[in-house]
Amino acid sequence: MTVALIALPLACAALVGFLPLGRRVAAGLGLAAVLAELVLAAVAIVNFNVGGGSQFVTDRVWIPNLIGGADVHFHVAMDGLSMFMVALTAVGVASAVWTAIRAGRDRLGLYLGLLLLLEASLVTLFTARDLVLFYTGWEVMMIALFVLMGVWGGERRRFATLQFIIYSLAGSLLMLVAIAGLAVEGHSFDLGVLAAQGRDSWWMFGAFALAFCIKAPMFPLHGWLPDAYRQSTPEVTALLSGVISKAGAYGLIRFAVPLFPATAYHWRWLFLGLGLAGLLYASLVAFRQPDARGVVAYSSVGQMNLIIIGIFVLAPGGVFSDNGLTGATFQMVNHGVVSLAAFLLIGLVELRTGTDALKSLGGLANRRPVASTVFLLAALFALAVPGSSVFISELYILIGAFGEQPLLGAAASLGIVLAAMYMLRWYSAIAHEGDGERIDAATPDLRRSELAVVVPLLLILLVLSAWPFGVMERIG
Amino acid sequence: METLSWVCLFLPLAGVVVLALAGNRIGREPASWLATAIAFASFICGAAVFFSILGEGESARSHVYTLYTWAGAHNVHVLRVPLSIQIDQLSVVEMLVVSGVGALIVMYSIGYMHGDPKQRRFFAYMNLFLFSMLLVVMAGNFVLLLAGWGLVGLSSYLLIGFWHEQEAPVAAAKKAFVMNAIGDVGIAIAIFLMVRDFGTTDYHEVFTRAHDVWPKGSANANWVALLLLAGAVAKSAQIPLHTWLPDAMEGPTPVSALIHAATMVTAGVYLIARCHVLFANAPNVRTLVAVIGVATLLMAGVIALVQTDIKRIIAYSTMSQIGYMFAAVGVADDSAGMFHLLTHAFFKALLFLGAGIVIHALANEQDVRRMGGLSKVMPRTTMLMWVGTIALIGFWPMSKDEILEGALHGGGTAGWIVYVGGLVGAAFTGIYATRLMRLVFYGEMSGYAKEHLHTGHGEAPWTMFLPVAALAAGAVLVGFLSVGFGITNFFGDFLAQSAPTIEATVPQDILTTALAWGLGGAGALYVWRLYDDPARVAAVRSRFQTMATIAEAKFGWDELYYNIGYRPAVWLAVTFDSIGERWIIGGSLWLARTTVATVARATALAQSGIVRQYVTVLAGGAALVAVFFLGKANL
Repeated sequence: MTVALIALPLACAALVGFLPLGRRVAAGLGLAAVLAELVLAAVAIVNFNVGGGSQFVTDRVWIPNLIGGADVHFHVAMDGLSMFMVALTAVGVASAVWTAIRAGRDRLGLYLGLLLLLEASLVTLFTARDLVLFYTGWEVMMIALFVLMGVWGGERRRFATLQFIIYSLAGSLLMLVAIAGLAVEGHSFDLGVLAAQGRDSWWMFGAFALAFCIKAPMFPLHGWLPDAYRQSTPEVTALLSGVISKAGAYGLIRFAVPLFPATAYHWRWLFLGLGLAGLLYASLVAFRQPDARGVVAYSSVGQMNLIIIGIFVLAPGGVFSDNGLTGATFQMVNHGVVSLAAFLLIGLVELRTGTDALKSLGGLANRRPVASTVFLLAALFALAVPGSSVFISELYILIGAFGEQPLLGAAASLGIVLAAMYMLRWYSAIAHEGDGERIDAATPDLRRSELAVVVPLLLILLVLSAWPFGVMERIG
Repeated sequence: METLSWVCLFLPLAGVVVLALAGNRIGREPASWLATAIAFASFICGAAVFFSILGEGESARSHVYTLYTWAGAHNVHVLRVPLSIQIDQLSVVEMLVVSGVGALIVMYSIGYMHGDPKQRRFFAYMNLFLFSMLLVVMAGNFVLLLAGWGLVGLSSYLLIGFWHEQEAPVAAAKKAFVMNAIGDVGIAIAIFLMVRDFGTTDYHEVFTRAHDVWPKGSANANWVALLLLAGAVAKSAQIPLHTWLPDAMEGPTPVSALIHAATMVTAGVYLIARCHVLFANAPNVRTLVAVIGVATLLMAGVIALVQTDIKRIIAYSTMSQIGYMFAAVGVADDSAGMFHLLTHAFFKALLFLGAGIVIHALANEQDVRRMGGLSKVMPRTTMLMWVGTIALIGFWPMSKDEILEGALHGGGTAGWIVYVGGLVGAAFTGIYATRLMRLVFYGEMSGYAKEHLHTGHGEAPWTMFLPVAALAAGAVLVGFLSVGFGITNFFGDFLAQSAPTIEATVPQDILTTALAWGLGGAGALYVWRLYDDPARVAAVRSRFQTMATIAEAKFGWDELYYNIGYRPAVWLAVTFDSIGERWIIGGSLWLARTTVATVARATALAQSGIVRQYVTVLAGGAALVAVFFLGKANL
């Protein structure tokens, strides 16, 4: 099962990316691939055995005796968290592929091939139980992203890509060294084996945490993010914010904390403090952004920092907080889907107006009932309106934080008010009052083919809101 | 009864879904009637639940029903939130008010919103509000309560900003949402405390164990009450989180009647009555509730004296009347507070809808100075408005006397504050309520009114008139539920188990009633005569110049919040954005530059600075690594 989830997009990536297919054939094949992947992910969810731990396991020796007597295994498996991250990836890449086809990107075959490669790498890193395999997925993900960002996108894309590369390499090279160090000390690359040894090493933990916190990103490591989110194509930005940021949080939960529980516990206040600072800081900055992407970009930074708070509410011995971790993992799913919807919607605005500058927008809700409703729903989920799944996940994170330190929970709750402020400003600037200079009576409402990608995302959120337990009992 | 309760709750939500999915495939009129029918059906279910509760033994009237586990996990240490409702005397009274008054107002809206291009959306939002409000009053745990609490805030936002083509409604809607979000945070933090100390937020569990876990007057007992109070004052527009309510009048008038008079804004009173165990556990906070109530009722009463917008007069009146309810629950007389909530729902909705008829007839004019003399052309509306005005002043129903009475018998200093403040407030009420009637319906008709008045077919279409008449009848009839003087006390008896009543040791004190009536009546008579002569109005105004200026400035709260809240927040945001981000991004650029320069110096080959080349090199490197691994692999 897991292997199929990796192999399918990988094989199709090669086909779509390298074979000289026509645009239509490439588009058809790419779409078929991501839809099949969605079906596979759905099958996995249906067949998932609640409370059954890691499932769909494949474990083969890949490279015997690489260093320190440690074998590299092709060891993949899915527990609830992995499974929902894989499902989020499938949803995200499917909507990205559809958007790319509709937008008619240059060199479409290569573009779709890279998106499929990205999907394969993400599924690998979300399911890998071997450090080298995980690292392989992590690096392939980076390379696919570098190309997607550097070749397609806005005017200053090379500059943005360069920043992104520098940040990413700084993190991941150190992680590689730490993996090597672990293998030498622990004689294994296997996550389970190494976690059972429970190492206490500040530099190895720091190397892992740095790579993941750059990706998430944790404050103040988000310097690469504003340019990257503004210069990429809407679908790549959506994936960056919706899925790839979750790879960072996932890494913290799966590797950094379990491999070095005592170290993580020792340093937890560094992460809690920076997480809190980042949540409030980014939320305030979001309130002043002049462009639609900027608002959602900083909002995303704020939310990821909240997730980091949920992760680092640790008990002695690096034990996760029950409520905090449940909230953080559920929020990874919720925020992933919300970000996808928000950035893809911004893309639809840009398609119509050629800009996302808030001062040129306005009045989209007038005479455009569908756009009005869809943007409203996205904004409401993004501000975690009470009763929504996002509200539930934030509530659980904050309950965890409050249990650790009441002031932390109370201060982080201010993020709720700030989120209302910046998201309502975002929605009003796009949708309300008279027509902005780039919007007029001829600006069309959302089309069916556009709704085909946005409505499913919103439906997922509505279903999650009706029954959060469905995900929460599996993901924990 | 269980099924009926769930149907009562979820019918309006089903209405939202149907209206949203139908879009413009359903006509505007059918959509409006569908929403109205759903509201009435929900009311019928509520009434059926009420009668089944009446038929039960007095000690067995509280029920908790659970549909499924909404949030949580199998891990027992993770908070579990069941989708559960608590049906008891308190919630069933609220269910009737919400669905009953709600249904009448939704029906009224058919005429009021007729011809609006977004008519269908309006009715979908109204149904969304009904669902959310029912969730607030039926919820069986604090998380669901907070969900409803936030969703009524959302509905309020959507409906205040319904005419979002204009600037003012959008600004007012945002203000209301954000101020209510502050209150939501209060309740959220109270929930964190409960989860930490109880591991659950179910009402039953929290209320039965509260005394043991949080000793009376302890820090935690005070904190939890104070945090809940923050939510209550935000929702109920009490000092200090009240400034959003007058602005909320930008919404269509039926919205003002339903959300900002009859139901949502009184939710704070419900919350305090529901949590009376927690407030009894924190006597100081409970006193604070009374003080806040009295301060608000006086301040809003004064501001109402100088308002010129018909809806804002009524809005400040609402704030003031909710102040009475807070005063009542603040001296632990929950049943008096709830009774005033009930009567107020009728007469205030009545006043708003009557004002709506006037506004409608005058081409959306809301300035009372441009009205006048309308009693001649709108006799039926005038009569109904008098019913509302008499109720507001407190002649009948006598819910205000009951509050004063309870305060006097109930307790010490707080009791006296409520008693005296409430009596002074009664005089203010008499003045502003009568002033409104005098200016709108009597005297000379203004030039504007003569020009714009259009009462084509009678005063209003029957769909608008009937609900107003029904509310007037309701306002009169509910008065009999609790007359006092040993005549009837159905309401207090019914609520007794779930909302404490202060048992009056003597039948209702005739002196209190006389004082309240006398002060209200004196104020009414005074203002009635005053406006006979414009010169005297001006003279009185100049005598109270300072007070009038303060009242017109609304006691400066908006300016205060602008200066201590909004401006610092914006300043912080601007500083972070301009300085913080410049250092973080600038720092990363510096890092990027130095790294590239170093690498370039070291390897002359790579100094092109072309990203594509770097990427190619990276990809090549990765490929080499992959080949190396594959070479060692045994697949």
